[in-house]
Amino acid sequence: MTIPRYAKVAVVVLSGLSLFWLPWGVTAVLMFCAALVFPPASLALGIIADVLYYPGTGYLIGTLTGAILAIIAALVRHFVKTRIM
Amino acid sequence: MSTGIAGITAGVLTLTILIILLLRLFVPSVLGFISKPFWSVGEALTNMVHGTATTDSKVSLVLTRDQLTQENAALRAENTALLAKTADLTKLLGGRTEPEKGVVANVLARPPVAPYDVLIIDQGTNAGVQIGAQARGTGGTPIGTVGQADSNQSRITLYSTHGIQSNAWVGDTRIPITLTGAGAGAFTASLPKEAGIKVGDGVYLAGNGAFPVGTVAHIEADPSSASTELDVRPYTNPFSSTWVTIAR
Repeated sequence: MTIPRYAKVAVVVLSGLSLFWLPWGVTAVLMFCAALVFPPASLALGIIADVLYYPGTGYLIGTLTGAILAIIAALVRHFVKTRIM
Repeated sequence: MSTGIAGITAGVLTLTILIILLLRLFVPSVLGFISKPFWSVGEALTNMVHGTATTDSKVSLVLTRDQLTQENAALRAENTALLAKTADLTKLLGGRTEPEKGVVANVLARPPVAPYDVLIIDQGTNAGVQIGAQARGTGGTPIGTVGQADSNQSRITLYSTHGIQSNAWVGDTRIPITLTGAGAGAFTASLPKEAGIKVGDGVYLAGNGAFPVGTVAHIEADPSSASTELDVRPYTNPFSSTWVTIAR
């Protein structure tokens, strides 16, 4: 099954907007969906989350979450492709 | 996605992130100017969803109950603050009694939208907000300090941020304790068993006076330990803060 391009773009845009509107937990789920479409997207969204909210001390939760989700999504995509081939 | 499109997308993403990072580093006020409309739209949508609830609905009743609970907590906090202030002034006759000046600011973003225990407010150094100034919520309850400030926006780091420690007092006898942030507005503290603290005792943040921050909600006493662990329920819920006052 091929996901239409507009749906892929919509997922990435929605994840971006959710940084401003939705609880962080929901944003993380949407970031993972975006990462499944395009893995670096979750890292980018994580960095934007830190740019917006990082208080100056402690771990960079947004960037770390984004990086982890990007790695997981990349692995998922890799294994799915391997299985199909 | 084909390799060409993926490459272009990656390039655009990298460029966007670079621009955003540079804006944050060198002209943070511009970033605030760009992001403010998004937060405002989110706030408006939330209000619209709440506003569409009919008076008969369960949602409306829950909202009214939450509002009254919040109002009650604010009044209790204010009352406790006034009582503490009166007690202090009675002890220190001739002390300063004039009201403190402050900057009232609207909260643009708060947990749980923000992944950290921070509040983003719409006032900055142009309005007199200074880094390190104390932020107070409804009823004058202290909620945090200004961690970062640019010309039109500031970030308030909440006292309840996980791991942040603050000096405080507990109970009528003002026993000194160290409050540790537990996230989402809550605190924990530990003190000796013989202190005689009970559930419902007030907890005050130490500073230029005694500022009530919450009450003891739960006491956990381990028989093998000489100390007890306190869970403190805050007066102000950071998840529903709509405005704050920044002390000047």
